[in-house]
Amino acid sequence: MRRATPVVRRSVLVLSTACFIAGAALLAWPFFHSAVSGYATGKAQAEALAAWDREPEQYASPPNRDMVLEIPRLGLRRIVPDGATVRQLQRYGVGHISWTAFPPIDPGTIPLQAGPAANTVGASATMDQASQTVGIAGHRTTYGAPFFRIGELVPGDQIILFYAGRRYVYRMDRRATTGPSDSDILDAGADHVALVTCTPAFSAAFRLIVFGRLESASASVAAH
Amino acid sequence: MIMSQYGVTIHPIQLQFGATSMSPVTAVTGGGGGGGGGGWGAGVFALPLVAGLLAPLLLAGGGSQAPTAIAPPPPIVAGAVAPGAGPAAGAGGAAVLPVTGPARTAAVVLPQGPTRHAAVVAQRPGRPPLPFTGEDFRLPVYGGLQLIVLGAVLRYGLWSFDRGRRRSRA
Repeated sequence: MRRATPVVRRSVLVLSTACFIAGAALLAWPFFHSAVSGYATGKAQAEALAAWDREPEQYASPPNRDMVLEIPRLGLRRIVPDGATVRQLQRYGVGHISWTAFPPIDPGTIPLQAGPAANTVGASATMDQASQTVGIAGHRTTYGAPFFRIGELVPGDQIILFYAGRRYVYRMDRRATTGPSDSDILDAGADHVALVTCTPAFSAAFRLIVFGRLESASASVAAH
Repeated sequence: MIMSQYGVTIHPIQLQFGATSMSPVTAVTGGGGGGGGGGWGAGVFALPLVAGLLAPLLLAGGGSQAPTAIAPPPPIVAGAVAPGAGPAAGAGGAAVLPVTGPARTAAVVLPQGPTRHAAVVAQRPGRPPLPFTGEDFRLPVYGGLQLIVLGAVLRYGLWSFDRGRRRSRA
């Protein structure tokens, strides 16, 4: 066998350099994507929260289906628009799952188990699809990563929702991990909220669901 | 095959490849190689490395699959059969063959199929899946690492082999 000619050696050097550059670019992609998407989502969230704080009465009427989610342990405060489509989640990081319920207007009518509708459901859902649990989906690692530390919640932690001029305090009571197609896991009852995100982090293989049980509801014009 | 000569017994090492067992073939060494060869001889060593690096990349696509809902087949409970008695369905869906007489041995449960399976997932028809809320970063991370290793092998591994061969030839 002969020794490699200079042309071959140079070709191998060029190829190896291309491999280095492509590998570095691929490794940098997650960081770049997280940073760019986090910036855009943070900007949209900041504007929406500023509008919420500026004109709270605008969000107190039922036609407006936006909510504010607060988790004191995580220092989290986010606008939750109605709809958890890919586009919606890319813009705000979180979203209300449209075929799940909203917090009950009259908490006194909540059935103990999932039963007849006591609270309103997203407009795009039929009664066959509808879940009585309040479902909120959020990104785990990108688009502001609102639910990155959601696994740190322990039973008893507060999950607060502001919706239609009311303040709903839920207490985290359990968590579950399941596949993406197991949407029936959100049938936890009308007195529950379910925070849905992907798990494990940096993967979309499964879904982590943190459940909270409604503890109290009180009148509140806005989230402060 | 065990060889014994001059008081020394040689036991061949048994290599297990799945269900196949074989004895190793005596390695034929080159004895100097014949010179030359350049850096391309190192490709023989680099190919398994590259293949090993690319294997998890190719398999990474399968890791993001949702657990499949596989219902295990009902176990068969075997026992003595009473004359003229037919099989009856058990409460758990198992086919139970009735046992007669008090002195029979305990029934033996013979599980069919894999005993480890994912939980049965029942999705309501028409209900969409849970929203997609994550990015699968395993592919770019694995791919990036493998490309960097491949570049390092191409840039340094081949030439180091080449230098070593030239040095040994000199």
